[in-house]
Amino acid sequence: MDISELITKFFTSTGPGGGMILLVVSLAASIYFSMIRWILRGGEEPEEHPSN
Amino acid sequence: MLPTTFHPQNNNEAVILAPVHRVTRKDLLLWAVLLGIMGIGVYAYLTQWFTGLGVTGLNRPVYWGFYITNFVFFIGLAHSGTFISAILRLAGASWRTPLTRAAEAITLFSLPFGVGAILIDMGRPDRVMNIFFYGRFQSPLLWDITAVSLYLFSSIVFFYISLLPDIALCRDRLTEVPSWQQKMYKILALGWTGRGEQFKRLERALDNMAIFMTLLVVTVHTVVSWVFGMTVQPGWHTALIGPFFLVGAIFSGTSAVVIVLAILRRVYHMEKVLPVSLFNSLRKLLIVFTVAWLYMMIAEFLTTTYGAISDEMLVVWQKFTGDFAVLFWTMALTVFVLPLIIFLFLGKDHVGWMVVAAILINIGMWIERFLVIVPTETRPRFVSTLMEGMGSYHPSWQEIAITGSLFAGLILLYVVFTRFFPIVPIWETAHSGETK
Repeated sequence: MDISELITKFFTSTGPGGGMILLVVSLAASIYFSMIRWILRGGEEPEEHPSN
Repeated sequence: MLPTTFHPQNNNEAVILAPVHRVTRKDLLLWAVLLGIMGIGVYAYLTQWFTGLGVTGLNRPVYWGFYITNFVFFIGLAHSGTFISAILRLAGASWRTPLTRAAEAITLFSLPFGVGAILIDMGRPDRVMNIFFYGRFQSPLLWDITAVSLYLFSSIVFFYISLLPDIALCRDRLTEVPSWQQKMYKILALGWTGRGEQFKRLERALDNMAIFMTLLVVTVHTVVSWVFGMTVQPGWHTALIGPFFLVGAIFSGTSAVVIVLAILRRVYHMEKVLPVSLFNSLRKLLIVFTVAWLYMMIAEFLTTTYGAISDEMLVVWQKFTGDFAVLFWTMALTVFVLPLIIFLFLGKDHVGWMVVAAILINIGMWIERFLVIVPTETRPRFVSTLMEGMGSYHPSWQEIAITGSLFAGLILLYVVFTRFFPIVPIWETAHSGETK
């Protein structure tokens, strides 16, 4: 199978669309979850790199 | 027991929190009226659900009418929050702070109705699952759902994290509100204590998210336009459609912010918090957008008419002198001519005139969305599909009622929100960085 055929198949095959939506949204969810946790933990733990 | 919480000192705190203290009878009456309008929309939708899309004015070859116009319009409105909050944050425009939340709330509450408009248009909304099960990467509909889902999700997070310090403030200050409301603040505040490091991290997160949100605002409306642009239909199949949709979205969204701010200012007596200078700043932005929109309009029609391809010209003449001429020239008047006159000669230091212009723009932009969609469908490229009695569109009462209910829903969510959360960010508008 040459590369152009592979690319065409990737775009025209039925099925992977839902997977892509779920992947994008769940990736965003995990990033946002970590971000909110990071914000809320601000000032909780001792400074790793104390400022001079 | 919660640890001691610090809140930035804001001299206008009492004014900003005043609407949150109580729900008045007038509020309940307004909510009831809006719910009533939504009820009519639900009834209209049920008749469509049980009878089918035949109750609408949609027919071959006009598949998209009011519903998809609403979709594009609401997604456009949703750009206000991201524009004001994210883009102006990146630009370092500090005047934006009092109006960021009011603008972001428009984003948050418009998007669900934009998405809902698609489901309503589908007739069989359960078939949206086909996108998940059988979606192909070649389909712009798949790109659209991906982009809009991510935008909605990201907007919720962007809105929520900037609200966190103020929810914590409500939790600590509003002790006389009902216990369920206090519990709500306690849960939503996520244990925010207002430590200096929390604020620093919040600012950093907002700055970084602003970059991402700016990219999203461009991609989302461009992808929405590609649902049209990727077809070979006259008026749609142009690379200009992406930027044109984007400029229109930011234009109508920013105008919506003017309307909302003026209402908040008047009803909640926030003249000091939302000064006239804010409207003057928005006026300057809107002058730029008005001219940019005209430029895009000229670019589109100049390109089309210069080439003068017969299929394209059929649609152009439909707009200039044909069935849609009245709407087209009304749109030109309300989106460009009258607002520009108002902005240049009457709007400075006059909130009332700014609101008039903003309302005109939003009426005109809804018509503009309609004119992008319907005239092309009445004169599609493959004329063989244009059978007798088709190629025209007259919306039914169901479509009008559902459109009304979408707007009522947006207003309802907005007014309810303003009664439970501060609509002006207290921590961002604090006069000093010191905590008390």
